[in-house]
Amino acid sequence: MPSNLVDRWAEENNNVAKKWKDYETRRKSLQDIRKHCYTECLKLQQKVQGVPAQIGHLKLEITVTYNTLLFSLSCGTPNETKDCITNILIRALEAVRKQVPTYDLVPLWEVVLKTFGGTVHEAWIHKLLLIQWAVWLSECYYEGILHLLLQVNHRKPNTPSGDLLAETRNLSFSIEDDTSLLDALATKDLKELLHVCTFISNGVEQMMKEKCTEALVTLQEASTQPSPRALLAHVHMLTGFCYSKLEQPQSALQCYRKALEVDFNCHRALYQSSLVYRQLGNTNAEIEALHLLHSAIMLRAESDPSSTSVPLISPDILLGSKQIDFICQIPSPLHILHTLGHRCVLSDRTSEGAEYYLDLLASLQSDSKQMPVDDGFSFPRIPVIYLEAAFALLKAKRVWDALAVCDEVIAKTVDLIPERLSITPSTAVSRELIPLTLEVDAPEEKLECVLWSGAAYFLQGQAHLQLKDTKEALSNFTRAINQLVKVCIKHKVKDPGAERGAVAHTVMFLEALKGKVLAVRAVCFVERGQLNEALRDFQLSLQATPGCRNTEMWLVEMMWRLERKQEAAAMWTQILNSTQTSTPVDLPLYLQTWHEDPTSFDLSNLKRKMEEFIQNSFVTA
Amino acid sequence: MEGVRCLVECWADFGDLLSAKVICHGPDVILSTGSEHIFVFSGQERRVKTVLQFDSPVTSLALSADQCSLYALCENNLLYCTTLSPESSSFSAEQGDDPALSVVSRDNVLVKDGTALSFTVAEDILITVSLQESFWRFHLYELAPFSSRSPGLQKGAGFQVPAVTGVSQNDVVLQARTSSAPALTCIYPNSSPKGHACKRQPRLDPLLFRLLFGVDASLINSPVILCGLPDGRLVFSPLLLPALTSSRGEQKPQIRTLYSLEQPVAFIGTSVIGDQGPQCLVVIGQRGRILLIRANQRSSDGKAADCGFIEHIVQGPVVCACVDGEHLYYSTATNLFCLSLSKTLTRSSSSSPITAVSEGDSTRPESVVCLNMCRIIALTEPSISPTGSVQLLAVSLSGRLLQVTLPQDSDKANMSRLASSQAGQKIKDLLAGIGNVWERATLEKQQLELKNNTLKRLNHVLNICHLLLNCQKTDQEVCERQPTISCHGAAKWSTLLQKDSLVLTCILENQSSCALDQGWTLCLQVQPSLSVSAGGSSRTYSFALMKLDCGQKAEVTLPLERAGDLFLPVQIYCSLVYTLQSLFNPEEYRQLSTSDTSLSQLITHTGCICLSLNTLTLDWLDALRIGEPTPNGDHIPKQISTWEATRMLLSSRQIHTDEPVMPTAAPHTVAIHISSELLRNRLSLPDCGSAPLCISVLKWLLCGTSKTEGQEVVQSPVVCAKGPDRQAVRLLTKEVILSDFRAEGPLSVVEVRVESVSVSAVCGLHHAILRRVQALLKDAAMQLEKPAELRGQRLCEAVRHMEHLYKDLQDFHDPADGVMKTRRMSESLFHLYLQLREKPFVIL
Repeated sequence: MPSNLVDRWAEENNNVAKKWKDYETRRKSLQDIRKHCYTECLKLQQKVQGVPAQIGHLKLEITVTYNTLLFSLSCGTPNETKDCITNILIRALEAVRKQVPTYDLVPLWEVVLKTFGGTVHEAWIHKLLLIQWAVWLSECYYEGILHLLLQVNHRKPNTPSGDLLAETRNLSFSIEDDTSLLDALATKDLKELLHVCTFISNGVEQMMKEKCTEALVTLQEASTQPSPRALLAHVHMLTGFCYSKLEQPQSALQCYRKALEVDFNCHRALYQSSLVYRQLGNTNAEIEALHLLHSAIMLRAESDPSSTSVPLISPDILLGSKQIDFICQIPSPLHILHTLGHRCVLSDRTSEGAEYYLDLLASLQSDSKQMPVDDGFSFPRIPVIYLEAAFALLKAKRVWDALAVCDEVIAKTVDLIPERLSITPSTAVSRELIPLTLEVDAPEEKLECVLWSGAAYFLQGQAHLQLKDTKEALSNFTRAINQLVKVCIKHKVKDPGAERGAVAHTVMFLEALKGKVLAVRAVCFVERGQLNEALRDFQLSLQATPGCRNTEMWLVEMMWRLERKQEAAAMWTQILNSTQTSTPVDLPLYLQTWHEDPTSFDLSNLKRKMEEFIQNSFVTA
Repeated sequence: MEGVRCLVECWADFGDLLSAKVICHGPDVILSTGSEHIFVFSGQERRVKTVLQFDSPVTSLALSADQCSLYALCENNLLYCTTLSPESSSFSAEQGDDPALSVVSRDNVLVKDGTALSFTVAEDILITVSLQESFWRFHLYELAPFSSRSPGLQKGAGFQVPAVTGVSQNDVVLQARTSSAPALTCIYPNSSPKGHACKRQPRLDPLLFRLLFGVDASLINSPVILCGLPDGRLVFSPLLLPALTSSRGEQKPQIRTLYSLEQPVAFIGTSVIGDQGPQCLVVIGQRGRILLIRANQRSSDGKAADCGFIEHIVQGPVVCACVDGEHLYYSTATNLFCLSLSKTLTRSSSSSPITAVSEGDSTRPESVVCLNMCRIIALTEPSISPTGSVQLLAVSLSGRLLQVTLPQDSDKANMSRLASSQAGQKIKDLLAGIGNVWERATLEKQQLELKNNTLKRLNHVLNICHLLLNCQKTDQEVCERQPTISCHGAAKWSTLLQKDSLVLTCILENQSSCALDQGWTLCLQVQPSLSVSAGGSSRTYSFALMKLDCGQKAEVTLPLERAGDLFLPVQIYCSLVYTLQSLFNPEEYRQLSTSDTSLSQLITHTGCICLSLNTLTLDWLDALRIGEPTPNGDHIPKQISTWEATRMLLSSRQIHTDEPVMPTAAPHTVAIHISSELLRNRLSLPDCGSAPLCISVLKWLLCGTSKTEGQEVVQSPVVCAKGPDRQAVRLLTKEVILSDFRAEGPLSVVEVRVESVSVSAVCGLHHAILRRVQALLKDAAMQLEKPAELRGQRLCEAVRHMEHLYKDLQDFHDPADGVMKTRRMSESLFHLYLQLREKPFVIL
C-alpha cells in the first residue's frame, strides 16, 4: 500500500473503476454491484474532501467525484447529484483561492469555466461539465446546456449560433485521460452518448409540438452519430414516426424495418408499423405485425429482468421519463390481443380470431395477474368483449364455446334488468350530479345490460340455428325479444343525425338488434312452416329498422306464399320505386352480419315470380 | 344488554401502549406496539421469538399473499419490506430464550416517496394511498416475485379522487394529520377460483359483488380495492381491470364512490349469514355507525336484483373491529362487544322495507352482547379453537396480548350443572373476569374523575366571569365599590446593564372570594393614547398566572420603551384571559384529542374567554425620575464601554445640532395657578400653612397622595428630576397672591411651575398636571353640592387645547427626515405655544 495518502486514494478510485469495468465486460451476475460501487465512491469522496482543497490533487478529487456522480445518476436522488456538483465546483474554486460568488449552479459554472479556461485542469473541469449536461438533459433544461456549451465554444473565434444542436455539433472539447486515474465510464463515450441523446431529446420535443419536418432533420442527423444499438433503433423508429405523420407511409415502414433490424426489442416500431399497415388497408400485414409484437412482449415478460445487464449510463436516464414514455409507449398485451382478434374476425380469418379472443378471455380471467397500466389506450367494456368473443366463436363454428360465453354474459346481466325500464334520453345531467348511485342502478347501465343480454340471447339463438335446432333457437330469439321490449323510451329521438347522448346511442343499437332478432325469428318460423307468425315478425322487424331491403323482400315472399298475391305485387312495385334505403348504422362487431346470415334472401327467384305475375295481371287487366 | 364472561388468557405484557396492530402468521402472532419494534410472538412457546427493529415507529403492517414477507408502514411514511423466514425461528430456538433482533434498515425501503398513509397487498400488487395536493391518490406497484433477492418494484397505474376540502388547503393537511388513516381492504368475489391465496381476504357473494362493483369486474373476477376515506366516503376500484371505454368512447372513471358513512371508517369486512356464503358487506365507522350491505335476489314478480343498505348506530368510539361469521366484534375504549349481524338484519328487514338506495333505517340494535373486556385496541381475525369455540387475539391499552375464548353459545352456557372437571376452568374464568372488571372499574373511575375535575374547573371559571361582569355592570351605574379583582401599576426606572429603562410594574390584586386558578392569563395592552404617528402600535404582554388565592397579589413587570422611543401618556388596558384548552391537563387533553376529535377541535378553535379589568394611564409625572438633582443632565458612569460612550456622545451632539434655534440657556417655563382654597378643600388640608401646602401639592402631583407619610423625596417645594427623555426638569410650587384677578379681592393661588430645557418635557408635564387637576375637579364635583361648572368647562377646554398642541408638536418632531421642512412651521407653532403659556391658567 502506498505510503502517500494521495496515491492511496488514487488506488482506491482505480479499484472501484476496475470493479465496475470487470462487471461490464464479464457480466458477472452480482446483483447490487452498482449500489456497492456507489457507496464505495461516496466513502472515498468523503475521505478526499476531508482535507482542504488543493491544486495539487485537484485532478484526483475531480476524478473521484466524476466516478461518484456517474453512479449517482442511476442510484442517487437528483438532489444528491446536484449538491455533489455544487460542492466540487466550490472546492475547485477554493483550490485556486478564488472567491466563491454564489451557490447557484449557473453563475457558478460561469465562474469556474472562466477561471480554469486554458489551464491544465480544463479537461478535468469538462468531465464535470459532461455530468451537468447529463443532469440538465434529463430535466429537459436546454437553455442551461446551451449556456454551458456556448461558454466552452466561445473561446474559439467562430460566432455563436445560439442553437443548441449547432453548438453540440461544433463542440470543441479538451478530453485528456490520465492513465493513472481510471474512470468508470470514459469521457469520450459519455460525450458521444450525450451528443446523440441531445439530438434525440430535441427531436422528440419537436414532435410533441407537432413540428415533424424539423424533427425529421434532427433525427436524421442523430442517426449518423455513433450510438448504442437500442438508441439507434429508437432513432429509426422516431424517424419513421415523423414520416407517418408527414403521410409518407412507405418511408415510415422502411424506417420501422430498419429499427427492428438494429434492435428487435424496439416494440414501438412493430406497433407503429401495424398502424401504418392498417392505414394502407393491408390487414394481413397488420395482423402479422401485431402478432409479432404480442409474442415479443410475452417473451420479454417471461425472461428474467435481472439477467440483462444495464450500462452505467443508460439512455433512459439521459432522456428523462416523459420522453422515454413517449418513445416506448405501446399498448398492453390485452389491448393487442383484442385488436388482433377484432381485425381477424373482420377480415374473415375467423378461426384465428376465435383463438385470439379465447386467449384474451383467459388473460382477463386474471390468472396472469396483469396489473393495469396507465398507457393511454382504452379498452371496451368487458361484456362487449365477451359478446365479440362469442361472435367470433360462432363464426368459427365453435358453437358450444359460443353458447358458454353467452351464458356467462346472460348470468351477469339478466337479473339486473327490471320488468319495465323507462328511459328519457335527455343526457344533460352528468353523472357527478347524481348523488351516489351504484353503477348498476343507473338507467344507462341498465340499458346497456338490456343490450348485452339481448345480444347474448340473439347469438345463442343463432348458435342453435347452426345446430339445426330451430325450436331452441326460436325460444332464444323470443327471450331476446322479451328483453328488448322491456325498454320503454319516453321521447323518441327525432333527428337521428344530431348529436346523441350515450342513451340515444344504445337505443339505436337496441332498435337495430330488435330488427335483426325479429327477422331471424321470422325465418325460423318460415322453416317451421308457421307463415302467419313469420309475416307478423317480418312486419315488426320492418317497423324497427325501416328500409331494410332484405326484410322487405321476405315480406313480399310471405304474402305470395300466403296467397295474398295482389298485395305482394303492390308492395313489390312500391319497393322497386322507393328510394328509401336504410341508413347505414355503425354497429358493434357482435351485431354485424356475415355471409351465412340465415335471413339472406335469394332475390332472383322472387324477382322472376313477381315480374311474371305483374305481367300476367297487366295482360288480364 | 347482558354480559358474557369470556375466558381470557394473558400471553404477554408489553407495557403501556398508545396504539397497536396485530396479525396472525400461522401459529405466530406479529405485533406492532406503536414503537420502532415489531414483535414476532410464538403462540406455542408463549414468548417473543424475533424483534424487528425499524427506523421509525410502525403504523401499520400487512403480510404478502404467500405469507413469506412482511410489509410495514412507518411514521416517516416509508414502506418497508422484510422477509419472515421460517428458518429464523429454528435458529433462535437453538440460541435459547433470547429473542433474535433483526434490524430492518433503509435498504429494505420499498416505497420511497414518503407520502403513503395507508397500504394493502393483494395479488402481488401493492396499493398505497396518499394525500397530495388535495387529492387522495392511489398508486399501484407490482411486486416482483421473490425469486430474485432484492424485491423489485414496478410502478403501475394510479388514480385519484378529490379530497373533501373545507375552507382551505390547510384544512386538508390538518385533516390528514389529525384524523385516522384510510382503511384499505381488498375484496374478492366468492366465485374466484384462487382459493388458497385469498383465504384471509374478505370475499363477497357474486351477486352482491356484481351489484356493488359492476358487471365488468364481476365478469373477470377481479378483486376490488375498497377504501374507507377519513371523510367517510367508501370508494372502490377494480384491481385488475384495464381502463375501459363505453361504446361511445367515453372513458369510464376508474374509481367510484359507493357510499358515504360520514365518519372515519374503522373497519371493512364481510360476513356470512346463514349457510349461503359471505353475503354481507360490513363497514363500521369510528363513531359507531355500522353499515350493512346485502343483496336482494331477483324476485319472481320481475323486480330487478338490488342491494339493501342498512345503517345502525352503536355507541362509539369504535377503536377496532373484526368479523367472524355472523358476528361483529368491536371494541370501544371501555368495552368489547359482540353484535349478531343475522339478528340485526332479520329485524330490520322485517320492520322496514329495504330500500335500494341509501335510505336505510338507523336503528339501535339490541343484539349487542357485552364481553366485559376493557381497553382493547387491536384485534386479530377470529379463529375456531379445537373445541369449537371462537378465539380472538387482542391487545389491550395496558400492553397485554390476550387470548380471548368466547363461550360457545349463550344458550349452551346456561346449562345446568357443571362437571367437576369443568369447575376448575370455571373458577379460572371467574377470576379472569374479576380481573377484567377491576380493570374496567379503574378505567371508568379515571374517566369520571377527569370529567369531575373538568366540570369543577369550568364552574370556577364561570364564577369568576360572573363576578367580573357583575362588577363592570355596577361600574357603569357609578358605584363606589372597589372592583374585586383589579390591577394597579406604577412606572419605575430600572438600571440594567448600565442602561436606564422605564418599566411598568403592575400588581394584580385578587380581593374577591374566588381564587384564580392556573390557566388564567393576565394580558396588558399598552397603547399610546395621544400620538397619531405612534397610533396603532400597541403591544400586548401576556403573563400566565399560577394560582392566585383570595387576597394575594401577583406582580409583573414590563418595559415601556421600545427602541428608545416612549410616547407618553400611555394607556394600559388590563384583561384576564382563560384558554379553554387549560380546562384539561396536557395529559388529559392528549387523551381527549385521540378519543374525541370533534370536541378537541372545538376547544382548539373556539379559543378563550376574555374579561377586561380596569385601565391604567401613565403620564409624564409618573415617569419622572426624582432625586437626582443634576441641573445639567448627564453624568457618565465610569465603567462604560467605549462604544456606548461614543454613542452617548454622538446622541447628545445630535440633540444640540437638532435644536439650534432654541435658546438653550434659558429653560422653558410653564406655570399653572390653582386656587389655594380649592386645593385645601380637595386635598383635605383644611388649615395648612403656605409652605406645607406647596409641599403637599407637589407630593400629590408626584406620588398621588398629599399625606405626610408619602415619599421622602419631596421635602421642599422644589423638585429636580429627569424626564423620560433624560433631560432635567424642575418642578416648583409657591403660593402667590393674585390681586387683580377678581373683583372681590386678591386671590391666593398656588403656582405650579415647570422648567426644563426640553420642550417636550415641559409640554408633557403641563398636560399631565392639567389632567390631574381635571380629575381632582371631577371627583370634587361629585362630592360637593356646589359645582364649579363654568370653571371646570374652561379647564376642559384648556386640556383639550393642550392635548392638541402636544400632539402636533410630537408629530412635527417625529419623522426624522422631515425636520428641515417643518422647522419653520414648528418654530412658528412653538412661538404661538410660548405666547399661550405667557399667562398661566388660574384654576379656582
